[in-house]
Amino acid sequence: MPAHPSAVILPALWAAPCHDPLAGSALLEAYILGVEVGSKIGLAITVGHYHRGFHGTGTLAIFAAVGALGKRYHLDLVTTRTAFGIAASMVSGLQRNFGTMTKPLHTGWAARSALAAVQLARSGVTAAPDGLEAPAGFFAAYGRRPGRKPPWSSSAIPRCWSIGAGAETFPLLLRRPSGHGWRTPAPAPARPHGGHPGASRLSDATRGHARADLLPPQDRAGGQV
Amino acid sequence: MTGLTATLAAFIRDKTLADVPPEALDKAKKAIAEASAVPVPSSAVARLQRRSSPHSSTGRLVTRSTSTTCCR
Repeated sequence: MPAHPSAVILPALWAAPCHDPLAGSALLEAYILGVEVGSKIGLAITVGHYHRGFHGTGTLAIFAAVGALGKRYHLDLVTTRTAFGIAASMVSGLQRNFGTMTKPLHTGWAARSALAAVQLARSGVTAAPDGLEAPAGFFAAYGRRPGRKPPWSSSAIPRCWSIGAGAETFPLLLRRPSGHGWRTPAPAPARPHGGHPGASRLSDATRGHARADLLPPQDRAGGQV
Repeated sequence: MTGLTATLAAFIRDKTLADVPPEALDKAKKAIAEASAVPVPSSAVARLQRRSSPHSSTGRLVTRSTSTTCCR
């Protein structure tokens, strides 16, 4: 899956209103299932989707978030399929905007749209129950070029778990089919998660800035930085 | 043949944490921790940078990091 699923799934889960508190186990379950859904869709549509110019974090991870929210809300089959159908009409994100402020907006828009799609489906809004694989659906519009054999039947998605079977974090999200089964490109072109290096750089770059005199009075009193 | 949308909907409904391989659980926990680690401190850093730099109206470091380290 050429995308950053966590950046979309987690904000959507955190923002989702629900009468049940978001327990750790529920968060973990919804997150994993969301990643799996996104991974399966990403593998089915192939990396060609990315090469056409789409930004997978906007166009693919939205479905990962829909899957996570579907688990969070314990949606039934019909409502979940409807949510996918609504989300299929909400996907967006073009690589042309890489390097601009609009690129990270793709991430937020995907999370927002996923949450909206699920809430609309729960509210009774209708959508195609086969929005992903239908002839005029998501895969047909955003996948391979017309005339190519469609790869988006249910048999095209792997039965095994994608998450956790790789070497680091989620390299399997970047796997592509080859003549010898599934393979993992090495080195991975992009790590979906760079928390530790990012936090380290933040710490280094801001050393000296985090002075008490720069903090607002309420933070000084609490000793929080 | 069952469609992809229906297959994924059933997958979401039927699978639970009990079905997830243990190694996947560990990696998911780390991923959640990592994904949660950056936004919280970076939001504070952006606020500090706005206060410390009169020419910066946004979190410059966060913006630069996004454009150079994130390609997907």
